[in-house]
Amino acid sequence: MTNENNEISYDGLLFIDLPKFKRLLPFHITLTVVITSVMAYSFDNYIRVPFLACNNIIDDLFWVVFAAGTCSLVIIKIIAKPLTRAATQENRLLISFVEECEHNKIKQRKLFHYFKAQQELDRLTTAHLEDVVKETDSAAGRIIAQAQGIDQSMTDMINTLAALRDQSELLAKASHMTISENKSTIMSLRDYVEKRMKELEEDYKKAFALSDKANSMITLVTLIKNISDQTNLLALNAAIEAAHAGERGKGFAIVAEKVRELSNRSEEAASQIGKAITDMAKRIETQFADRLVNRSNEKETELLKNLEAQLLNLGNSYEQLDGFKQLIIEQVEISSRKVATKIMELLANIQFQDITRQQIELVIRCMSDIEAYIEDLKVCINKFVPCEPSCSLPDFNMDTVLGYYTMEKQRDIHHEVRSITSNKRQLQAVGANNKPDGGDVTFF
Amino acid sequence: MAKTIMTIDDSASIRQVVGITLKKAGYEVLEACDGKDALNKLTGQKVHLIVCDVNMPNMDGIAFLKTVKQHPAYKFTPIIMLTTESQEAKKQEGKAAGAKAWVVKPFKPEQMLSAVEKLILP
Repeated sequence: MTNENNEISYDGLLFIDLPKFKRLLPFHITLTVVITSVMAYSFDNYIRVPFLACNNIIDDLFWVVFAAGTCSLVIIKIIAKPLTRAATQENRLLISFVEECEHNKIKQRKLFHYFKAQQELDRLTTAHLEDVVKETDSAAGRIIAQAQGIDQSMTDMINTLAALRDQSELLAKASHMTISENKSTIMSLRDYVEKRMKELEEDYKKAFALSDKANSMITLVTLIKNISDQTNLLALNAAIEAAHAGERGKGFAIVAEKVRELSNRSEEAASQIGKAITDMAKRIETQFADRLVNRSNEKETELLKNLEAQLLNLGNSYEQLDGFKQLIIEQVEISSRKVATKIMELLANIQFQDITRQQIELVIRCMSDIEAYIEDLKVCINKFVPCEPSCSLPDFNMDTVLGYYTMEKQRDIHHEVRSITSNKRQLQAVGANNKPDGGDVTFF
Repeated sequence: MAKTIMTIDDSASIRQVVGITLKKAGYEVLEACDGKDALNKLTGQKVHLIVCDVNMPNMDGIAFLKTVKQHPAYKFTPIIMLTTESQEAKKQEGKAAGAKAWVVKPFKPEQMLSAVEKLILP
């Protein structure tokens, strides 16, 4: 019974006239008494007296009417009293009903407002949650892209390091070969120097032997010179003797002269040979002077030894450097692999977004159910007819939500929250007590 | 030649994470966002293994599993279910439908790779 503005109308209801009736009841009774009295008086004065002598029946009738009127008045009075009481009670009830109706109208309005606000709030929350899902989705995508970029860089670095290590190993092999070659070259050089020193010593000995022989040849030259001098002296004596012999000794004088000339020429030749031998011996001695030779050999040996030591040091330093370089590359490779593993773990942790998304989607689904329920409830409340046990709108069933869960943790929370409803502190602690159930692998 | 694995999940982030994990291990990866999309993409080409989510829109993992097992080309393709669901009844449902393994999210990359290496077709 509602009008166009959804306001309740009481027109046509019988009990609405009762207060009016109750208000008019004393007036009716008084009027009845007055009319009855006036009628009794009029009847007594104007009808009963003129007709008194005529008929006694009229007198009796008067009293009958009077008695009937009095009785009616008494009966009316007796009936009116509870009626009045009932009417007063009804009036009171009506006032309270009207007041209650007014209150209910206010409550209904407030409920409507609440439902409307709740629905709008649900829609808003749903929109915000959907936005959160989108945001986390896009944030997860960005994190994945960045982590993938880092992972790619790490992979590139690992590959570069591997290539460097290979290259370094090749270089190290080449360097080891060079060092071995250097060592063998140094050994060859040392052998060569030693050989050369022996050869020099041999040459030196030969030269000295030659010099000795040259010196001994000078003795022979001196001997030739002495023979030549003796021959010259003999030739001179022969010439003197030839002069003593006179004419017969002339031929002998010529021979003595020729012998003297020959002797002079022999001496001259011996002198020239002696000079040549002396020059040769001097030259040999000059070239193979002991000190010079010894100093030169010592210096060469020292220089070679220094060179060998330097080359060996260089080789050792290079080997050490190569060892350090290998160590650095190995360390960087180990660290890079660790970082790459961490990046993969970081990427795996992005799965929280999917779990959060599913939890938010569950909340959105529950809110959607509540919204639909509120919509039905609005229709139900809007009806003026009172609710009956056979109401078509069922109560909201919390266990329906159980069917929406996608993980065991959600079911645990559901059961715990439903068993704890009154204790807020315990309720807050529920989430903290749940351990994550991820990472389990079952093979069938 | 690299072996091919198909990953089916309605979450783009999970598809990416699974994809990166498998690609790093040297596999080729095909992606699908739900069961229906996966069926559209499975056109008879060789797929050595399938990693599939359970709760998805359009066609869920179990329905996909039942359907793909009817396909002669993928009848013997091993399927790993990857899901947040760890309820025993659900696992048994997956097993009955033909799944070879059940991995609960969040997974560790080495766990996933170990399961893949164990089940992948030669």
